[in-house]
Amino acid sequence: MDEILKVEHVVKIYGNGVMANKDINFTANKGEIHAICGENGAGKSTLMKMLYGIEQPSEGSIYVKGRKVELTSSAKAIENSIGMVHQHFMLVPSLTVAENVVLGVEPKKGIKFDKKEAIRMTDEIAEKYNLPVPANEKVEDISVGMKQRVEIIKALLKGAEILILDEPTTVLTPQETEELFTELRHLRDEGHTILFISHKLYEVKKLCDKVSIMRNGKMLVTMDISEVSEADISRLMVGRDVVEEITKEKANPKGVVLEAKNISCMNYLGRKMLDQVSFKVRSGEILGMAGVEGNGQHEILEAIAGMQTVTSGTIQLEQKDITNQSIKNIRSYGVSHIPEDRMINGSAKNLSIMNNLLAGRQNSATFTNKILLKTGKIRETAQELIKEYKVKCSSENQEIGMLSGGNIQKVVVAREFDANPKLILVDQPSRGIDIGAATFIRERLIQLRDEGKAILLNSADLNEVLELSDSLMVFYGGQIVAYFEDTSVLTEEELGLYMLGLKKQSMEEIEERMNER
Amino acid sequence: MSDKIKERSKALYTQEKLNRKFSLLRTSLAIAIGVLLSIIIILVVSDDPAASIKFLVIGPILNYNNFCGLLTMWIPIVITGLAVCIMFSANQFNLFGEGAFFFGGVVATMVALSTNMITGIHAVICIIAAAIVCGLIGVIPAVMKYKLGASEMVGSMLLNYACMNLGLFIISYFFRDPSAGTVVSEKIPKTAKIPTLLPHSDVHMGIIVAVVLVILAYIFMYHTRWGYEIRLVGQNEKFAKYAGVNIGFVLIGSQIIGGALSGAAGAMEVLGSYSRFSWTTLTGHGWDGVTLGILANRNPKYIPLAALFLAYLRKGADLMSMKTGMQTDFISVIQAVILVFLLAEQFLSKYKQKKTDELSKYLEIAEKGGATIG
Repeated sequence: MDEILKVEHVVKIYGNGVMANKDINFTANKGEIHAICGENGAGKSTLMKMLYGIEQPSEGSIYVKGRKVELTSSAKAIENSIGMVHQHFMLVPSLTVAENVVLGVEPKKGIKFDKKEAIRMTDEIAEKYNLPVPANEKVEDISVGMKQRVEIIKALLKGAEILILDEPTTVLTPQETEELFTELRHLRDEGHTILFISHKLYEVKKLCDKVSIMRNGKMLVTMDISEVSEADISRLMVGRDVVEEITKEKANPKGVVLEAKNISCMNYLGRKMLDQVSFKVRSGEILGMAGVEGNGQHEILEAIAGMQTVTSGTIQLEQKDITNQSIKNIRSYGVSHIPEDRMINGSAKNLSIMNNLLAGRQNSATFTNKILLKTGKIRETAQELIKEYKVKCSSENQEIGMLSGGNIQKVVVAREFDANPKLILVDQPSRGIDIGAATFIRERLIQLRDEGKAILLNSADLNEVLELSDSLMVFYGGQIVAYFEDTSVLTEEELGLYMLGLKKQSMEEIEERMNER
Repeated sequence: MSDKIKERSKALYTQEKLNRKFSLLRTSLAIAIGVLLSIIIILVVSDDPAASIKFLVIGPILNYNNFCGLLTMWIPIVITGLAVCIMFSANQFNLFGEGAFFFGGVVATMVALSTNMITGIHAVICIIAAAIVCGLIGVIPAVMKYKLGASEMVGSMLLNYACMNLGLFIISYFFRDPSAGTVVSEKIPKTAKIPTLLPHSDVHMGIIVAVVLVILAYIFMYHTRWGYEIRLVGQNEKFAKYAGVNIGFVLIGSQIIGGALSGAAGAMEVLGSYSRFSWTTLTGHGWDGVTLGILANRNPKYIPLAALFLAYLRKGADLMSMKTGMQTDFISVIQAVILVFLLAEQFLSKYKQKKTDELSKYLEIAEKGGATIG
């Protein structure tokens, strides 16, 4: 087969001294789906960013179709027929599908934008590659899977022959994933090359022709997919055998800690994000939430934490009304919160680990006198937590921004777990962190459950939700559409039907099941 | 073997060391470029370059008088520098220091001329009054920012001129000395004057206050929960909110403190170094505070040193102008050059990346070596 992309001796060193790519050699052929696997922090994203011109290599060279290229910008990458579909879509929600697709290469009639031509161009690509999209609808009104398709068409229109997909299935339901795979196979047969980045090894095994494995910034090996098993890939990624199974006793729930009654709230645009949501979380159980992102799971956590105003309904913590109270008060009543995005809400990157560990507890008598902070105690606690949570760092004085994602998450988790909470709100606990850290955090959550904490968990990783949760709610359109008191009998496929809104339990049924226990 | 381990544990710290070294290098280089530029200008412009450079470089420490003059200049800008440190730490680019300094002087004059008290207490009351009034005025841009989202930078800049004109109105209508040829206030009573500290000089007791304030400001910012909350808000407001910090309280509080400190500095300047209120325009001390806040990287600890540098430059330029007739205006050019280099993020960044690359590779090799031995 023809070699279309070649990376030779590429090294990337970031400004903070992290060597993210160490002497990478890699080739991809025309007409193949090529998986790039590796733990988070292994250097996949860095390599992809260099291929798409977002970052420039410190050393080494990149060849497209045998010609050396300087990819100094994404425009240059597009010129060299490299396209990318980002994990977070780069679409303008208020524009139509066609307008988004032609963005950057707009057809013109005189000085006016030629809408008809834009639609024609979109339909042409859509037809050619069998990727039907509603060219006239606004992007904000279409489903996540459809948005992804629009991204792919966008890249194809600009002549992409090498298509990079960065964890494309994380936001999709199992059914949408299946569809995506069919489309990708079709593209491959048309002669396109697809670089598929994923953590989900069974997807890699199912879809891809070849797999390249990265670890610690190095490219270890490229193999035909038929030569390896899922277990082989994961062993190569981690460098040791992975025991993914988490041992968990059956939950032994006690009294109700949190009770939410008929919660509704709106986002800043006035759109209803939660609609009459009611549920209870007991001490000693993990209540999971599943749903496609943006269906209310995240909002309910924010509402309980006091970061989102509730428009109607009540939230009670051990029978005390905490609806719309200040975050400070809610925290002081014993609510901990692991936020969805550790860099935005969970940490201040230029402050030290020690200062980050203090956040939220600066008013507690443990850490402050009337006037002065107990600096000694703060330092001591920081050192203990670093040790207990195995945070890899030079000292408690190191800026948290210098750590890897997994270690930052450990700091966030350490701070929230150490506050001795009654209720722990957990939002995407292991998003974008390595398997080691994720397992550590998951085991911790179960341990805390066994100690009698009430835990409310949201995760886009269905495996994680199913594995950790004792019972599970499914959200769709800001409502609870299903409730399962036992997650062990549930399959991902069935869950997918509820997440897509294709299946629904009746309100009475849900209520009955919730109260049954 | 043990050497190897030492080597590796040392290596763990080096990236941070490199960062620190570069921030030091950047600062020194920026200052060096500024100073070098001033020397070049002198060489081109001055009739007597040798004497000019001599007074600029060693003038302030040539004799007791000059040195005392240097200290007198140091006092007010240390305090306005602290004010800026606190406001900038909360990520509030409030430039009200300038107006607060001026208006603090006005308030002190008003209180000094309209009350009678015993020596010492009188001055203290004047200063406190100035601090309270300017702190309260400082609320205006803070609240406009918090409630209406209006830029505190623009608000505070405009407020400076409002304060200046209001102050001039108060002085010229109510406290003007009609026998004086220009618009100045009546003589400030002896009881309200701040006593001098060093004999035969203008260095007043305010210098002790300034030193104490530096210590207090440092403790406040780094050893109390309020300072911690201010820094938290400044570093990441969303994170601070998530951690339960009352954002409005911090934003407004930090700007009240900033206004109060600047006002007190103005009051002390009038009561310590002048016999009457004689300013007719903004004095520039607030701007100096901004320069110092940036030079000191918002840390009160470094303000005294930064202020010493700035005062030294000023005093040197004054002496040079006095002795050789060389104009002092170019000193502000120097100041601007230094700030531009300090604030320009790309300055030295290529060189730093090169060093980072080298270090990174070295560590990589060291790790490999360690791994084979270990």
